[in-house]
Amino acid sequence: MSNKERILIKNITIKNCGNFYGEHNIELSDSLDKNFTIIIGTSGMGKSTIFKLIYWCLFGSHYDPKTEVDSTDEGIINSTLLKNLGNGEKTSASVTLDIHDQDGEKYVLSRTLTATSHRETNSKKFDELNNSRINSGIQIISESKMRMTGEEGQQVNEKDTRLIKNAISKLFPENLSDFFLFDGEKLVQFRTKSEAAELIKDGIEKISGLPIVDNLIKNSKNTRDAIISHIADKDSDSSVLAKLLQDTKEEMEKINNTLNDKDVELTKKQLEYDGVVKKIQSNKTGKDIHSQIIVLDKTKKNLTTKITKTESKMKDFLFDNLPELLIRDTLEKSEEIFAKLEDEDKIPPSISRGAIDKILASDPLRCICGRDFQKDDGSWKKLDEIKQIIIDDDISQGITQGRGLISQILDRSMPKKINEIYLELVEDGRSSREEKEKILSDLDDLNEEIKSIEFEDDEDYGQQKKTLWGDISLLTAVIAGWKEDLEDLEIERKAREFKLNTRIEHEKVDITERNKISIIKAVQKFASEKRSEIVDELRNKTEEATNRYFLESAPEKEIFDHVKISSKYDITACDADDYVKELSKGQSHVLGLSYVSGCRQITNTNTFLFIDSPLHNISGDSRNEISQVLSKNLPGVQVVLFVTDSEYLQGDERGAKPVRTYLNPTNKVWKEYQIVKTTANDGVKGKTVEEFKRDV
Amino acid sequence: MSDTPKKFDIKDTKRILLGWPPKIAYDGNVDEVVAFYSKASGQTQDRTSLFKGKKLTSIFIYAMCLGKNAGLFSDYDKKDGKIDRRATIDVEYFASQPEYVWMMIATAFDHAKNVDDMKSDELLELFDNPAKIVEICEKYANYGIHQLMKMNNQASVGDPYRGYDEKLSDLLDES
Repeated sequence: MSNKERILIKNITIKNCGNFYGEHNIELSDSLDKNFTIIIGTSGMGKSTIFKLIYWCLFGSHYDPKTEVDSTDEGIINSTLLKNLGNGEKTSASVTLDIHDQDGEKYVLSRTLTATSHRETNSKKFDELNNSRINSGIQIISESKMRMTGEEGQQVNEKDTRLIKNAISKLFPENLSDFFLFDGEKLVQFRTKSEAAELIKDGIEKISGLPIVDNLIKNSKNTRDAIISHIADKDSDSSVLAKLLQDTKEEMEKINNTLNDKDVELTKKQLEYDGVVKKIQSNKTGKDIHSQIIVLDKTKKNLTTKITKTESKMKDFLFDNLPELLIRDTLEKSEEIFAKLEDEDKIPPSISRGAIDKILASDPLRCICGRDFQKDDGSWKKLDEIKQIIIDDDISQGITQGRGLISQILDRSMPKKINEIYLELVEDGRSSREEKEKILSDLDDLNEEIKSIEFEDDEDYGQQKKTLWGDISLLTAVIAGWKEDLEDLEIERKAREFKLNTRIEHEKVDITERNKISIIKAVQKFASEKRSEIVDELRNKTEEATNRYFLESAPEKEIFDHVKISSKYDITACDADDYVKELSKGQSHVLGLSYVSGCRQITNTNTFLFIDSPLHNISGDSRNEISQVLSKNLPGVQVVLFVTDSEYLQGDERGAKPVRTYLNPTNKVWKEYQIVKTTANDGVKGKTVEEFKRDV
Repeated sequence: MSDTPKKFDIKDTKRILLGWPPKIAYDGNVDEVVAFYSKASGQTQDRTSLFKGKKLTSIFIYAMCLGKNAGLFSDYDKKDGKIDRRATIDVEYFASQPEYVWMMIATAFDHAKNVDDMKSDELLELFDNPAKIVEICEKYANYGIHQLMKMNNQASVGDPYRGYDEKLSDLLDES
């Protein structure tokens, strides 16, 4: 880290953004030793707002946009100011970041949104639920400016958005923002293998600049397809094949579009479902029943996995054993034939080279008659000769091996043995299915119970939940069906593409066109090879760096030997025998943090690291484990943690100590801030950031 | 029968296979057989198939074992007086599955002795005439493939391996 350019934010100024009415200043640490700044706030006070405002100021885009329309302010401008905006009036909100490197100020970047009202009653159009403006006749204009040092050392105030973007993206590539503006919620993904793999794949691809290579591959393929299609037009057979290929591609595109729509629909339904579940949980009886449902759901999920595994075992079992059982009689008969041939001295005795080696290795060898043979005896020579005969004789060798194999098959295909395993598998499947049936029936009963609860607003949330769950299940099945269709079409596409290409290759086409195809094919191949080289290298580096951090900081680190990132981006922590160890919640989070730290190591700069909710959804000992890691690691990196007051200042009933008790003794905390409610001089209520007073 | 190589010296099997015809065949004149071989293996469209992701060699051996177990074999069908020996099953794949090779050799030996009534001396010559081994095995597979298709067709949504399951139970009962 020490040789890298150190980049940090020294000061953040927020004006009229979100609930921060008026101007608010937050100074952050630039110290190498006391490198931590803490921003504390109860849930909903605006920690994440500050985090997202920093993102917006740096990139001009929103961290998690709610709409695709650029003209909305996404809740950046203070809602009170907007509500009170009269016709023709203007108001503005801004964020300013003082960006420093190791030598001091580098840039001062400001981004401002100005709203002008063009109608009398825009307040009616304020969407309280989503904290955003519906298209309400308010015009939003975005501006940015950046103070920097010019080529001759003079101060320049740059307003050209393009130049600002270029300068900023050199320091902070937006696609790598996860490695300096990290949302702690993502650490939860490290508890699930597939989600972690997705995150890592995404990270590695972004670091490596693979999207450029991917574009090259895609464009080469498109160009090649276009040339092939052009050639195909000149030949009737090829044009039919090209048409068929085109049909498949169009069909795939249609299905992809449908899938996207269905995915959006599913997300909506899931959100609705979550909302209904929250409502149910707001009622005491509902909460109790729902916790029972969660437990049963988990068991159901485990049973489903068990059933799938048993089915897969049964499939493998049938695949392996049925043919051996079918051919058993024949093998027995052939064994008799070989034995007869052996008796007739037509094939050598069934003795292995290994057995002779064993005899040759023992000295002295005692015969059953009591005589000891020594190595210089003629017997040794004779044995060696026999061994040589066996080695020299291909057929003998083959037959020996084959007879060995046959006896092994006969041994493992004994009907009694097979029957035992088969019955065990049948029984496993039956008992799991019965258990699952019982749980499904219990779940039905519990869901019926929810229906009988009387909620304050008289809504039938039980029925709503049932209906929504039905819709979600149906949609999930429909999506799975579409995905299967897509897989089938992909097979068809490949086959049709292969046929067309083969046809084109054998056609008498213009040599220039053929050369073009060859060149593009070569580019495509080269780019694909380079892509996998880059991915391999980056994956190895990420693995190495993650490994280093994890082994230094993981709770109970002594049980781990190394971290592995597979070619499918699955991340696992293993012991010395390469066995994958199951991770606790705390260890999974530390693995996530190690991955982020590891990836930062690969990049060229020592950029700040702001983490929103580093302890998201984690309690008890696991929280203590993460707190210790946070306090020990990241030397020399400007760290800002956005934490809740409960996790930072209080413990929890499951044994978590306040994070502060881990951080303070390290003497790394430069300043602590808290977000508090305030009333401005003009009576407007809002939030402000003030230095945390220890006695409060 | 597993696709994963066992602890056998593959070199020895490769040496045996050196003299074998490079491809083993199925009956190209029977449309449903062609469709079954081409669909049931590799990236099959039939997701529940027992042969999903498996090689053609496995289907061939399965078919051969069924034919041999039934003691029945079929010659190639003739269309317009011609047979269509669809030779698409690569022999090289057998190298990693020595069991398959020896199941074939055993089938050929047993057939040669008990059906063709060959004498002991002649039996060993089969090793020098692997085309004969392949020919015998293909005949059993030609018969067995129809049994295999029947078993495969018994699949239902909730019970994709019903046909195989029933066959296994029958064999266990018989024994």
